[in-house]
Amino acid sequence: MTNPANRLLWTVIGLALLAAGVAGLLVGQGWLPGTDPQAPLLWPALRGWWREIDPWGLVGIVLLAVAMAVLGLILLLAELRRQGAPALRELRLPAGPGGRTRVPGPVIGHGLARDLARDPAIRGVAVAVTGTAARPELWIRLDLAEPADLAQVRHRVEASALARFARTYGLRPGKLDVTARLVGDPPARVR
Amino acid sequence: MRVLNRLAGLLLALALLAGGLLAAVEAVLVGLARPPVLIDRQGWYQTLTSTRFASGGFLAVAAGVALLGLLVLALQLHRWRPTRLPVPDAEGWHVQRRSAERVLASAAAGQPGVDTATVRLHARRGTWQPTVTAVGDPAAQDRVAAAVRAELVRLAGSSNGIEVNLVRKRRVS
Repeated sequence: MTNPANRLLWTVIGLALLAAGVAGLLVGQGWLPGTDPQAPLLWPALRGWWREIDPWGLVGIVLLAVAMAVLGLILLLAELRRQGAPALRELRLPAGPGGRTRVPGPVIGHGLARDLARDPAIRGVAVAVTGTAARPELWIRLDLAEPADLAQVRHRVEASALARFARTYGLRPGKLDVTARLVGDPPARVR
Repeated sequence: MRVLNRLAGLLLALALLAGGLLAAVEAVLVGLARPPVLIDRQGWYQTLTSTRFASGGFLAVAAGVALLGLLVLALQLHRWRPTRLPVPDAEGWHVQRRSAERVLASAAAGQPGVDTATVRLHARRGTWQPTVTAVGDPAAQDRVAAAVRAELVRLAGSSNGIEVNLVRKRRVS
């Protein structure tokens, strides 16, 4: 589930909790018309109605409980699902004299990551390729060793690794999204 | 908050799944006139038929639920700080905010006369605007501003709007 979806879910839950709590307080104080603060939580009229509809009340409870469990399962799967756009599965290069070349999506990402990792300022790389074969989208995360000149790194990445990527596959990424994380040097080893 | 929301979502999902299954099983057992698995039916019935809406226990639970709802709402509606900041004049490029704040704080804290420093970064109108809060000699203000400015130029290419709050270290007597 995406962050905005989670935020919406918890906003709705927060509103529901607030409404339930305020309603309970109003009933308990006798400020809600038509309610009796001295009545028990399972008030006599409710118990009478339950006996009248027997056994359908119990059937209703079972259905509600199953619906609750199914909702929980759906939410669990949604929370565990990978975020973001689906990865590109395959890239088909234009047919040449030797035939047609197909490159699996993950291979493209790994190749670009290896190329980027050769830069001395880059300590870690993660690349995800999404979008379509005609318009691939590149999502890159770089760990930059401090002190790194970001403008120079950007120039090297765009002029070297991404230029090689464009030459190799004969296409330019439709979207480029790079997130750089600045990381310090690892602590010196004491011998 | 993003991680907390996700964890809370996972817990809610597990609670719904387990609670729903348990309630379904218990309701079926009631229909078959069989003993319960986990729920003390008689105890719950006694409590729910003897507790009144005006009782202190019910009012305390209702107040707690309302406060929890208010807290959840406040946390969700509060403006969250972005996890990354766009690099000015570099389309598609971003820097993880916390790592940039750490680098700037380290530059500020490295100046003579400064004990500790923290930095909060905001991206406004296409530039990064840091607010530096440092503890140390107020005379170091210009040095701190210059050091942070130099780091900003290296990271974001510009250095507009640096705010430095240098407070004197309190003496312990």
